[in-house]
Amino acid sequence: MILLEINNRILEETLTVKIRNALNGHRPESIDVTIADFDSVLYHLSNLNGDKMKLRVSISLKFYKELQEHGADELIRKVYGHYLMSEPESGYSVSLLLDLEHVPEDWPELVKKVGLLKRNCFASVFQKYFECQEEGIETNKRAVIHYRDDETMYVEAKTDRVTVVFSTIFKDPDDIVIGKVFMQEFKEGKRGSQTAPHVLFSHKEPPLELQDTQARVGENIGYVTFVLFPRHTCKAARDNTINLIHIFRDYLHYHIKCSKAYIHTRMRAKTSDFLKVLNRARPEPNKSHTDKKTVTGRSFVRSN
Amino acid sequence: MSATLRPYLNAVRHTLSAAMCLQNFNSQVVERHNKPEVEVRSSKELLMTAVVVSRNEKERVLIEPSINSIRISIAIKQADDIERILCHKFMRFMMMRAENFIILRRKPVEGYDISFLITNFHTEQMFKHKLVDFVIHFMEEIDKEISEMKLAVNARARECAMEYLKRF
Repeated sequence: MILLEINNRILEETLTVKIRNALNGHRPESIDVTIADFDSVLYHLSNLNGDKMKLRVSISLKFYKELQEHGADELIRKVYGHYLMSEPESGYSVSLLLDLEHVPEDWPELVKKVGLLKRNCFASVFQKYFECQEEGIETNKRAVIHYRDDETMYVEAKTDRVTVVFSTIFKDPDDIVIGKVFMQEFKEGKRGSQTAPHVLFSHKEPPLELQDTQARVGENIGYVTFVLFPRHTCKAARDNTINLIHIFRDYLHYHIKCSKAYIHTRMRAKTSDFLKVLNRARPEPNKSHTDKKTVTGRSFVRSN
Repeated sequence: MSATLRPYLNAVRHTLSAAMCLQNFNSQVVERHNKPEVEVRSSKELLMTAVVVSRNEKERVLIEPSINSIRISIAIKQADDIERILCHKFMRFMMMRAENFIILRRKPVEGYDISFLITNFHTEQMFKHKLVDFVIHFMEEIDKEISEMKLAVNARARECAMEYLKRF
């Protein structure tokens, strides 16, 4: 559980159940499920026009327009082929249509692919810049993706490297401190693994690359820069790099929350330990005052 | 235990045992009131001289005795940001449970991280030497706990960074 899953498990499991039922010839049931994912992504599973054998999977990303500029449509079309609907469901960014009457042989593969829908939407922008770098084209334009309301991702290609900058907001002031500890370790991570990319972290101020942009400045903002070298962006490693990097922000915040939860359980344990020590200060109730009984069961009262 | 901690705790222990000689005392100002004098501070003659036992700049204990109550405030060592927030969180957590702790004050005295208020009613119900033991135990453990929590956060951060970067 250290690394977050990049697929959507609920989506996959729902689809698997649906397809299994269809294959076993159970009566089809209608479905209408909304699933939330990281970065305020929403999935919606429904039946197309009330036809129970037609399963529509839609995803809504707030920043899909920005991804489209970087060729998200082509990539999605390439990956999902004829499953892609030409018109997405209204209010959603991409819709896929699965026909439960014609389930392909390798349906587990298909389910996996659908589960990666969010990842594939993200992938386009990275793909584009990795290719630019490989071909040695220096793009002046950097990609700006507002992947959350106040948080932005910048991607830029140089001839020898691709830089990815995340801006992230720490809602709780304590998060800043814990986040700094984490980022310190990420910075030093190079020692442990030779193949790791350079990671830089700056707090409050954006890094030099973003100096001329409208990048936000503030007490609770952190900027994380990844410098990806050709060995990360080459064709063989590309998918892996995208898998890792697009989940980074969620990974960082998830572990900050986990640390806080752990600290809390420790505090709870220690507090009850202190209470025990304090209660030792109370004298124990005097044993001689307890009620004594005679053989017949009556209370024995000493008369004196 | 380091060389300076032992004498520090000893000094606190002796000061506390000496200071904790409390008696029932009704308010001189309001009839039928019985309030901890160290808090209300209504008459000067009932308050005794406060003592500060200090190990270094940051770690110190303020002991304020009075006729019927004694207030003990502890400043805990906070070397960096992370220790500061851990300490702050921990103290807040405990003070929210002050009713269980009986002798814990709901708010620390200014300049300190946590305060205890012991009245004559507490010393009547509980053993005095055990109360002193508790305060000493608390001081011993709190430093240890905070540094352990800090280590745990660091270890987690390292493990996360390693695991993530290894995958590249």
